[in-house]
Amino acid sequence: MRKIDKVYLLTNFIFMSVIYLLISISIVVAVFFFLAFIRAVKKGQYDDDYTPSVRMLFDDELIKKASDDVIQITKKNPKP
Amino acid sequence: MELESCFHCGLDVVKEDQIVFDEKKFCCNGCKTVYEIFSLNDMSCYYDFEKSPGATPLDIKGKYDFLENESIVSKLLEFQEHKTAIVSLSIPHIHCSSCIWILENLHKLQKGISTSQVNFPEKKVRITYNPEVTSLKTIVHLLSSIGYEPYISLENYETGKNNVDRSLTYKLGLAFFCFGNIMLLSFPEYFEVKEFWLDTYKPFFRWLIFVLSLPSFLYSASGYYVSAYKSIKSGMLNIDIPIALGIIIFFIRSTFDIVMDYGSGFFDSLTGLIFFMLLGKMFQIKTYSFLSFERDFKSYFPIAITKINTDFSEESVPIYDIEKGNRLLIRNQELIPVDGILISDKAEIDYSFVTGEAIPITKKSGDKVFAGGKQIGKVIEMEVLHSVSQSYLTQLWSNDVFQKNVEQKYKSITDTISHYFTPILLIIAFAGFGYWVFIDANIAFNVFTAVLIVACPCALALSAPFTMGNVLRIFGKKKFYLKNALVIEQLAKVDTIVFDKTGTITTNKKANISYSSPNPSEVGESKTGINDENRTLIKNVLRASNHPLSRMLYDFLPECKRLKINDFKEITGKGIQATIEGNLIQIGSYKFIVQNSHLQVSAPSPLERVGERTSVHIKINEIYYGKYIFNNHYREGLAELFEKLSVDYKIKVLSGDNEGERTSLENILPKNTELIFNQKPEQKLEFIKKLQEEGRNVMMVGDGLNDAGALAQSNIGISISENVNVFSPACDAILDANEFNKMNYFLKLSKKSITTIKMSFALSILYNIVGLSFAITGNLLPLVAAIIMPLSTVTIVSFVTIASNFYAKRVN
Repeated sequence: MRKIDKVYLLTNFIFMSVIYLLISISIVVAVFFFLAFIRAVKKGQYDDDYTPSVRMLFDDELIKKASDDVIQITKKNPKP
Repeated sequence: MELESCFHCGLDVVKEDQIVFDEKKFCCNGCKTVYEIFSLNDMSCYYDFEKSPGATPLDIKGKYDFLENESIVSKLLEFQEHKTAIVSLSIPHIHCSSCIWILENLHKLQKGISTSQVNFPEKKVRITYNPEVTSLKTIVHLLSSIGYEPYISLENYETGKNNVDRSLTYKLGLAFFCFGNIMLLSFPEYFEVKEFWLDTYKPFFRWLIFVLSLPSFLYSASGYYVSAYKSIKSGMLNIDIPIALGIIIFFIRSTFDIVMDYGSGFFDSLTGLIFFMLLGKMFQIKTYSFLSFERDFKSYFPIAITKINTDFSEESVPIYDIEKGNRLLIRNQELIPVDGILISDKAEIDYSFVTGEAIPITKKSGDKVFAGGKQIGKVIEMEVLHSVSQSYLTQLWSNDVFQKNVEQKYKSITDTISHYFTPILLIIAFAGFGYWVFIDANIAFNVFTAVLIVACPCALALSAPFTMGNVLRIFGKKKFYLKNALVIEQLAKVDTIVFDKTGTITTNKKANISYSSPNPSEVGESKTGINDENRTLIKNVLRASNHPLSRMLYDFLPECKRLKINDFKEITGKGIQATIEGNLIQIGSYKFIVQNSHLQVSAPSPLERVGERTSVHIKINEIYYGKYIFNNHYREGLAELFEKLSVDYKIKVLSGDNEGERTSLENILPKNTELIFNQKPEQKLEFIKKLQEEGRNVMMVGDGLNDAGALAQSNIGISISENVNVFSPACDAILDANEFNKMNYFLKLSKKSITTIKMSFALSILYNIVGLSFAITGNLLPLVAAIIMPLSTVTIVSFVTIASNFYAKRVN
């Protein structure tokens, strides 16, 4: 009887700490994601929800030339 | 004639005119040049994303000279340090993915630009550049040369950091975080199995839930407390009072429950409620960020103008620095920013921004010119009479209606309901408390709080935002853009509609042109009037002219072949002349054509002058060929629309013009339409005010800056816009001009959406009765609350969405 009691208490003790541990881990993870969300809002990620969706589809179309190879436009456009 | 579209801009190309370059067809040199720039820089994938995405670059010579002025540039910049500068430019042409691509690759075209980022919904590009390498003027010129001319106006003058209010997003995120976690943590208690470990760790769970609910209760819901407090103070019982009361009672009761160990409290329902209500708020806010509803004269006026100093040197000065007595130089297509006196010989000024009238007015030296007009033709000089803020047009903005805060102007339908709802709710709560207090004080307290919790008008508060939000989107798809959801309610209440005439019910896109041949008895040689050959000659001469009348007549005449023209001359205020294959062609005003010649054509009688608005006379080889008459062109479906509207509404038409059009308008419009002419901007405003004092709900439909006062004064001001991206005065709603004839549909649908809201109110009151029956008998368990609350929310939201979509399809 005493032995069973002991086992019971022991499992109970382990169980208890597991609950505390798991809950606190889950809360920490949740808080982490929440902070990530706050940071994203602050940086303005939700201000423009259209342009990035287009931008990500662009490949690097300009591989042919290095980007420092700039051609200045000097020509004025004639009136159409 | 075979028509093909330009590779760059997609416009039709006339075969004789096309420019072939790199095996591609272009409509003009401008388009070809843009293509050249892109292909030289290996950026021709611009054309891969979208077919013919470009715009023809316009001539901008001298237009941006003011960007050389350091102090003006520094006002435009968002950020400036010696090696970095950031500027946000608004570019109306942004419309497709190719635009995003090319604008974000600007650094390939211009040294000194480090990054550029497009905000598509706002049609803006944010450019970071090195001011030591390049200048803002160069960048603006580059943008213009590739067809993306930025729009810089006086509004940009005080840019600075604009603070975006993101608090609702924060609140919503926080509310969701709390709601989700609490929901998970309260799960074990829903199935209250008598288990040893559950009983032991109940306090831990409960206090954790309590802590988690605090941020939602204190921060996310804070808007409701503030609003409730304000409404109590102002004596108006709005819906936020029962909401705030419900939330606070919710919290106190739940805290009390866990402190006294009575139960787990209602924290799950509480945070859920806050989350759903904030979601409704979020849904209701649909902003068209590329539109602006708060525009005043600042967005029309240029930021700087050329001033002529006493030593005849020219200088760009900011508009605000202009003083009385200064001499200004106004170039072709530039806006006159202040009232003044014309010094140059003659000028043609287009007041279409102000009045909607497309035909320019001719001014002579010494005449007064008013701010807001656009100068057409050669460079003119003028002397300033008033500074910007004291000019005739801008003074309209000092009227009180522009200072008012519009938000609290009207009582919304939800508030009207809550006017009855709140007292009834309190009566039920106290009655329940009074009944139970004699039986059991504990139960009495429970009943009292439970009533307030259950009746917390969550569903009631959600029906309006979701209906309005949905209708707002439906309208937006049909090109009717509302400032906010409250406008729908106002729209449904309207009983009087006032229309502006010029530019609103008439259009200057298409002209109604008729030809009148000269009287054969007076001009013997041209009995046949005008023939095809002559028409070809006229059209070719018109091609060279930029005068609005020429453009309209050009579009009106049928397509014909191109001829080479010589000796083209444009005489300001008179007309144009040119020779083609030895024929002298003169087109212009009555004075120019008829009076200066030996021809005997009777001058138009005064009666005729009133009836006909404007006419262009034709003379070929000294033979008079009659005239083209420009009549006002009324928008398509106007008569039909007015017929429909006149059934339910009183219609009035206001016009700044004289009575010349009265008879033709009376023919088109229904009999009971009131027509009022000769109205100045302030008189229009007063007219609306008078109607409102008679107890009418007035909707004003206008377009020009001269309607701005009336639009602001009316219960709801709608501005008609030919191009929604560019110009519209401050108003509550912007309607695309092509959708003008659908106005009746919008009005009907707004009425139906109010019906939908009323129906869903009935539904949510039904839920309240069910919930109250639980509450009043003292049986409200946390689980019941947690089921009723989301269930009612989901059904209400789906009901209003389906109903409003149904009406959008049915109403015709």
